[in-house]
Amino acid sequence: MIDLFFESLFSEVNFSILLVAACASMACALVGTFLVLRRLSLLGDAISHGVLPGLVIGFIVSGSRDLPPMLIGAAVAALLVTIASDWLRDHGMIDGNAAMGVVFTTLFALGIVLMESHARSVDLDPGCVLYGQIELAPLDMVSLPFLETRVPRSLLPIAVVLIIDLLVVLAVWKELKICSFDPALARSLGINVRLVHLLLMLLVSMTTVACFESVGSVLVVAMLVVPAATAQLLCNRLAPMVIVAMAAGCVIAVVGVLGADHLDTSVPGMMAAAGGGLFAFTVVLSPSHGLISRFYRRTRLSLRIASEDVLMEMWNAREKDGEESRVRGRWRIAAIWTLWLRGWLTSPRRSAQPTERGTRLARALEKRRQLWKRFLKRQLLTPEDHLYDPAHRIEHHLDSELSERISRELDQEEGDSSS
Amino acid sequence: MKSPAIEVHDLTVAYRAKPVLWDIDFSIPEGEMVGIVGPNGAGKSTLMKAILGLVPISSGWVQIRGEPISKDRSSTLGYVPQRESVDWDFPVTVLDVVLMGTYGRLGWFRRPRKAEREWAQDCLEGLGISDLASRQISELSGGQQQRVFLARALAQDSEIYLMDEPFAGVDAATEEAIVALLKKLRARGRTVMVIHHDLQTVENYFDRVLLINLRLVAAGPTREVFTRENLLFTYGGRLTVLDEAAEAVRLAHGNAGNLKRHPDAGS
Ligand SMILES: Nc1ncnc2c1ncn2[C@@H]1O[C@H](COP(=O)(O)OP(=O)(O)O)[C@@H](O)[C@H]1O
Ligand SMILES: [Mg+2]
Repeated sequence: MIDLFFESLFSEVNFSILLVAACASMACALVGTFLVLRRLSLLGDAISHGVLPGLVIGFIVSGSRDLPPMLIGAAVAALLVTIASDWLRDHGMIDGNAAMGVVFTTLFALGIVLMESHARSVDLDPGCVLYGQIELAPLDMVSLPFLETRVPRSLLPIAVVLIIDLLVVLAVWKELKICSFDPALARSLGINVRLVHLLLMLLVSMTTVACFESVGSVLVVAMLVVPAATAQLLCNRLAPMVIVAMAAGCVIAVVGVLGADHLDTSVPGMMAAAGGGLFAFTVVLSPSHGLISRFYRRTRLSLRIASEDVLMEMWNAREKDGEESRVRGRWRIAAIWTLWLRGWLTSPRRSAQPTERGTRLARALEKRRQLWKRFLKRQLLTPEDHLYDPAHRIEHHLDSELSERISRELDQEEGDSSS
Repeated sequence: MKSPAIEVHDLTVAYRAKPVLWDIDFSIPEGEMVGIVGPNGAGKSTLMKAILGLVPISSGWVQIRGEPISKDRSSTLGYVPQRESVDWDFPVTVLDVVLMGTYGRLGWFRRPRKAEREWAQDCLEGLGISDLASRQISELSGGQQQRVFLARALAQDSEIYLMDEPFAGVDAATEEAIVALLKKLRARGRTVMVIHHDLQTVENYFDRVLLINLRLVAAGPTREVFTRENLLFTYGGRLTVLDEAAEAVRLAHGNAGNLKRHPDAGS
């Protein structure tokens, strides 16, 4: 099984495709991280579509599919998208997202028209731009002077762009960080925020264009956003987030390429699906933000509250009878078992008594409850019978420090009013 | 004669066509603690941004220590933006944020090194939160967030500080810590300008106040300017606020110990 996996992975055909897919994903993930952090995910979309007319014009002018003229055209178009939508927004015509939407759809349509009317004679067609031709990578291999194996020709632009992305991001790392987090401060420090923004846009457009040919614009948009969004759920510092995003890009590439080979379907399609899957997986399982861990934390909290309530009821039962219990049903059973396991009850039964330790805890809890009730009554001037429920919710969250402050404040006020 | 720390002359600022500050004119001598007071939407934040050169000026000028505001003002002006202006879920730690205060001095391409990191740690110490250095900023309380912002301003080591509502929504302990810091800065001869909402504490905290509501209602030493009439002008046209303000002044003159926040505070 494992053997088969590696055999399939390292077969020459799959490996070439994988190399292209992984480099493209990593490049997109790297620049995409900054888009996601600036809440500019849509801008990735806008640029990757808006560069089309630039690509086509570059293609028409040079008459070939060489990368440099197309790159220049695309970069110009990308800057146009950024500048035009910022201008529309700043001059109060429409809001930022709508401005981007208007600009990039117009440019994209212009690109399609240009392509249909001028470039039809040569092999540049909308399908190739939307879906890419990664499956053709192994058919056009070149040898490099300093490498022994031959690599797909389509890898070259992607690899070059990936390296440029890495170098630029490393060089202006702290500027990117501060301009993304707090642009107002950055400007007050004399950092040219606009230049940094344009630089990032330039990187995004270069990356987009270099990856177009292989993986198509649909996947480029996905790879700009999905790995970064995944990493955001897992990391709380910038550098790890960038690394995790790029790693997620690699995982998506591996799953996409192997899956496509196995199911005999399109690689970009499979990669986009893998990205969605990875993201969903993270949403459920992330240790800090995941659904499961959140559910776990909430349940543990509810159990603690239920246990505290039950303990106090059992302790109080000696004094007053007949009051209806706050905790019922399965929660009550769970709470009683928890209390017994912690050694606060003598047995896991309804008739159980608090142990000595349980009694001590119950006394402390009761004191806290009374303190909080007193405080609420003073602060909100609420009648006593309206107090119980809201007070109940908060009293379990008071730590010792807060309790002490409340008690100090109450003492002070009572001193004031009596004097 | 020594030139003032900040001099603003006939300043008008407009967003698109709508002027939000009209013909503002004042000057602030060095080493004073200045409060900016006015209702919401009065243009207080805008005035600060205009001094920092963050918004275009329609007419008039701003001079910092006798010189027009220039591109490189990192060493003269320290800025504490409004706390809500940034995304507190951003993946950075407290120390990362404080280090940003040193970026202006570092310039392009240079990374903060050990010296900067130690300096940032000292600044955290100055606000009593050095134990939070490696926390992610989303785990902080409101008061802690504000302290981080102030530590970052401290890291800038500027001559003049501009702070946008540093007291909004902070706990009493943080308010004390901030006031202590401001006094320390003043003792070192730094000029501090603070947008403030709590009318009760104005007289305690500030040497000088600017009362602003789209135009400058009054500017000068607190004792002369922070009067009932001026406050009525500043908050005029809004009856409930007007009454509140009058009441606040009365209370401020009566018993200063009782902290009651102004209803506009923190919004
Ligand atoms: N970026 C902006 N674009 C347009 N109008 C703005 C902008 N920022 C603030 N304003 C407007 O300018 C006025 C003053 O705002 P601001 O300086 O934030 O007031 P304050 O800080 O005193 O509450 C308000 O009416 C506000 O709506
Ligand atoms: Mg403001």
